[in-house]
Amino acid sequence: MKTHIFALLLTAICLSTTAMGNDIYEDARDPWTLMDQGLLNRQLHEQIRSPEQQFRLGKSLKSFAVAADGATGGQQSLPGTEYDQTRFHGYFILDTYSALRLFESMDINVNLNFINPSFCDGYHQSFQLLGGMSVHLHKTVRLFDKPLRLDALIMDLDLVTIGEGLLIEQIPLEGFSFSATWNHVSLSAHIAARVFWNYDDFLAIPLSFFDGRLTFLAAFWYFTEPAGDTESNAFDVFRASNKVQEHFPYIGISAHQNFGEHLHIAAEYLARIKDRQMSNGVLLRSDIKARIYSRVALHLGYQFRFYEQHFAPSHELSEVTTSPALPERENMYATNSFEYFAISPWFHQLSHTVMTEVHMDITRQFQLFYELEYWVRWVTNNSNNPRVLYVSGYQKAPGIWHDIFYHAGLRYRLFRNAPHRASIFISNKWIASDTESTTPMPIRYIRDPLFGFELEVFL
Amino acid sequence: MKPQWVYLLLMLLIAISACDVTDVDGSALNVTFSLPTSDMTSSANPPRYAVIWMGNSVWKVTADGPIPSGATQVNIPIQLPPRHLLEKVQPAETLTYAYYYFPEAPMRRPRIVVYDDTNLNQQFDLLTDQILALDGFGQDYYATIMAFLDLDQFLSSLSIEETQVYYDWTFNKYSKVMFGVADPDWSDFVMPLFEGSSETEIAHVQPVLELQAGNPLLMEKDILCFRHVEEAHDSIYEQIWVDDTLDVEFICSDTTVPCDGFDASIAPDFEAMAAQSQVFSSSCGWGNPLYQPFGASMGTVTCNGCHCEYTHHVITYYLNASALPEWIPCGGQTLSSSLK
Repeated sequence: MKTHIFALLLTAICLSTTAMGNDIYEDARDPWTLMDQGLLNRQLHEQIRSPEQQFRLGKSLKSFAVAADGATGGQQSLPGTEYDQTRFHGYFILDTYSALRLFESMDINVNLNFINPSFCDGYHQSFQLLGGMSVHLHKTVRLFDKPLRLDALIMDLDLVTIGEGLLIEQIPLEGFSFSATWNHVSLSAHIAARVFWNYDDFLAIPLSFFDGRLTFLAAFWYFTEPAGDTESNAFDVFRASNKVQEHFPYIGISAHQNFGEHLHIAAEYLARIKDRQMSNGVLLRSDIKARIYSRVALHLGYQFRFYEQHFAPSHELSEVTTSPALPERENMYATNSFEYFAISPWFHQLSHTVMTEVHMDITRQFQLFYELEYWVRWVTNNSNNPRVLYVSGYQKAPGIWHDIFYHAGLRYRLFRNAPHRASIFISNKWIASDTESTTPMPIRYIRDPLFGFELEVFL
Repeated sequence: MKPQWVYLLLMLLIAISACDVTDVDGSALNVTFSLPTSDMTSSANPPRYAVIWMGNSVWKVTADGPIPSGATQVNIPIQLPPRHLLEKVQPAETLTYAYYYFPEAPMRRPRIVVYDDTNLNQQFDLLTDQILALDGFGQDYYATIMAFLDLDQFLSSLSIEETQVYYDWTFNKYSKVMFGVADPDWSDFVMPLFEGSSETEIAHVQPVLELQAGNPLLMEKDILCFRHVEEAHDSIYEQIWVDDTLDVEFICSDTTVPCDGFDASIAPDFEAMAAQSQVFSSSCGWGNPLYQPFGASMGTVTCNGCHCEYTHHVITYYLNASALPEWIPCGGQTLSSSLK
């Protein structure tokens, strides 16, 4: 079936002559935040030729495009405190993107990320090279005298958000994505593997109207627990009787609307339907983004989330993990479906989050910035004999969890006509990483108050 | 201060701080224990059971009752001491619940004793009544009843998946748990499994726990020393006595053990030997047409604080097989032993 769809797409692409537009396919970057949003591993030509990316050195290479974001710095403990530095305590990162456009309808995209998280480990000891490749087939053909845009993206999906983010939000994934858009209506299929667990697969089929502002979604989360292995994990033995491959269907609707350039409202409802029982999830989001007195950029955001017990695709408590662990993922909100799924089999979760970011230009080169996220969660269940558990050793469920994340500091822009910059800041949201950045991590952020410094270049 | 003085002081504190058995909190957990029946017969009085919580300066009996005559098992209610007294139940042991994949956690364990109510006051007196059986005596690893000092603290040390396993094993009970049996009335106890248990054992845990018999003094020390009695290597002293009617010189020439002749018509005073020793046993060895060996072993345990030594005095009698004295039990019975 997948082969037939792919062949159909290829045939349509080959018959067409119409060029594609400039918008980025399935762009999961959050436009309603002031936090840095990096490049995506597709449509690099369109990304770096946009007005705000004119400093890119590789923007004029015709069929070839190249860009790189480099950063070096450290994440260190504050003097006199008990906290440890992070894995990225003295790092160098060179995140490179290249794209080769063939036949005006086919891009070969390569993202190579050169990482050394620690200069303390020994000469070249910690070096890692993370690589991702994608083939993006894109074409617009005419159908009933209206353009029909076709996309097929294979392997590196980069950041993925499904709907408004109730289910999956800004999670880097690999898989396949297909889409056909005609007359403001779009039908897509996104297939991803290893989303939150080692043995899960995910299929989403969104049908969108009004250029994606209204979407009906059907999704299937396939979940398979591995066979018991006493040597690798004795706990699996006790779950041997529960080893089944299951799929968890979701259906729902999402919508978003921008009111001018400054106000954005979004909502999403999904229901997991399993064993004739529904578990509901709701996301409401509102954002205000504005520039005040030309020197101050401001974002105010609010999110409401409700995940009814059993909303996640698992019958039992199961650690949710994600990778890679890279500092760029600090530029996302802590409020994310990732944080709700692990304990979903036992608890209802309702949360409010208020987030704000302010960037204030003191001079043309100095900028003060702060990002603040206050997140409160009510974790409850209906049982008369509630099972108590702890998340990260201190968040007791059932209970009310309060979290405040901050990130504030000073940036210095090295050149007036280029974004290269040096920053120093304090924060309590640091990427949690094992020795290898590719190790799936059950927590995304270390919440210790530390300070960081960073020199960034954008090529 | 010398260790023995500390020990004596400890004993004194324990002896003067015994409490009554009615002052307890929470619901009781009934646990079935199997009795070492062969050792119950030596009890002069009907045996009784007791549940003891030991502390450095206090001990608390939370249950005490008679054991029905001829019983091979007994149901014993396990219950935490009152909260204010629980604070004094020490030492809190750092133990592993259920499986070594779990992190260790502070626990308290009661001692379950079967005793001979020597002073007939129908309650257990630690330094007076003779202990006949004890839970976990002489075993390195065994299933026992334990209570988390702080279940929340333990749970906070678990990962989410470990928490799932914990509740799988405790039938989704928070605090009211005991592995192997789903009983909502059970209170703050869990039954751990020992390190090295196979998955099969865990899946089919035996809900009947065992009480072990042993030397009364050592069992008493095991309680007083919080299960940490240091036992030295045995010291063995041997002596051979050869019936005068046999060739004493010939038999004695074949051994380095002190050996001499004796008049077998006069029975040795075994009762006196048994009275002088804490463990006495006698047995008939394999004989031949000429002589019949008969051994008597007197075991003595001496303890200095929590350090105990065994001394065995083994006497072997070589008796004329053609004229066995009446006092020797050999013939219909090949082994006899008695526990003092």
